[in-house]
Amino acid sequence: MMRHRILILPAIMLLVALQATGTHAQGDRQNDDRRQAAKFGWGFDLDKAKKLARKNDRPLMIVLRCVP
Amino acid sequence: MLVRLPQLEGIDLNRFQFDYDLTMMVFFLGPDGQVYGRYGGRDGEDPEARLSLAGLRYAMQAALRTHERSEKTPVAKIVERPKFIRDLVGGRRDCVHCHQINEMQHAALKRQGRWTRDHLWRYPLPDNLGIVLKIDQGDVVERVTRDSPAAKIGIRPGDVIERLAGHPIHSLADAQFALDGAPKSGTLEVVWRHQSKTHRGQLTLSEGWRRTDLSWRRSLQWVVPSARLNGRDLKPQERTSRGLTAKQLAFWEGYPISKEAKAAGVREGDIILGFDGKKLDMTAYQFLSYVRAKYLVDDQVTVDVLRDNKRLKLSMKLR
Repeated sequence: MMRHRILILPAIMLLVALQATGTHAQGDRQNDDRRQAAKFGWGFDLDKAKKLARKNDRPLMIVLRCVP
Repeated sequence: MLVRLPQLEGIDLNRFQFDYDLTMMVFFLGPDGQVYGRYGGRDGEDPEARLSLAGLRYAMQAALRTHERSEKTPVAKIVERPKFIRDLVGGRRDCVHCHQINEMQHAALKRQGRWTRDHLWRYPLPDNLGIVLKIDQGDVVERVTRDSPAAKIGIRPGDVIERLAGHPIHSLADAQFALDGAPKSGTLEVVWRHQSKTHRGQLTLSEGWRRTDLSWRRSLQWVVPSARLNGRDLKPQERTSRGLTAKQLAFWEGYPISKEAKAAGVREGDIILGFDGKKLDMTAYQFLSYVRAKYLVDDQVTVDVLRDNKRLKLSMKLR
């Protein structure tokens, strides 16, 4: 029983670590994506863009894009 | 103005209605939030086969024309109130993939006892009615399927689809959105232009017209079945001696036999010819994809079997 516990604990820690790494990796990819897109004039705040569009009577192009 | 949204948290799902199994969708909105048009969409074969930069440019130009004309006809469905992801899951979620919204919607319908198989067939392709649109010009007809509802009312290659069910069309995504709201049978109004003359007609929607290949959809893997049969294709001489053609599906059922096939009475060494009496020109490997695309979990099929030169029909439930 003790041996099982010894094995289970590192396994849980490994899973938590992998989960955290995955989340970080996704966050990094999203940040990279934002930096690249911003260089070409893309914004990321829909409410702000809507206000500006109304103020300037401009249409909006909104890209919904999953970043894995 | 350009906006890029990598997450749907905080997005009004009633405003941004699209096929949530897609990984990209473009919306063109007017300054007051009215939807001018959409760009995106895919078929069962390839996620990018129906997309091109020229097609995107074409849809953008159409949106700008709509804006400049101040026609501003909203193509969104009537929206009573905004709906957010938190309304579906009952709380805040940090990161939700688009396809998970479909899963939540199916789950919600099931909880309410309102779910039917009809809810699986979302955003049908115009191909289902015989209209294949050009990739670079999303409202121009590339080809028309013979004897299809489109062919029957006289739509021809080169014609321009102006409206489907009242929705302006400038892209495949616009067409799929318009078709998503169409009934499972009945008729659908189409307005199209042939050369300079505008025509109006009714496309016939026969039962099952919405059915398409679901196997690519992340949200619907729970309804995509496995053939539960597999083996080696018959060699040419093995076919000739049994009167089978060179291309028709015919494979030796191999070991181990799945529990479903065993329950149906399939044995090792049986020759599998397909399902439901259909003569299929394909390999055993292609048959696996065919079943995933054409059938659903819980479908009852007849397995066509050749055993000791006798043809058998065995009933099997797909899982």
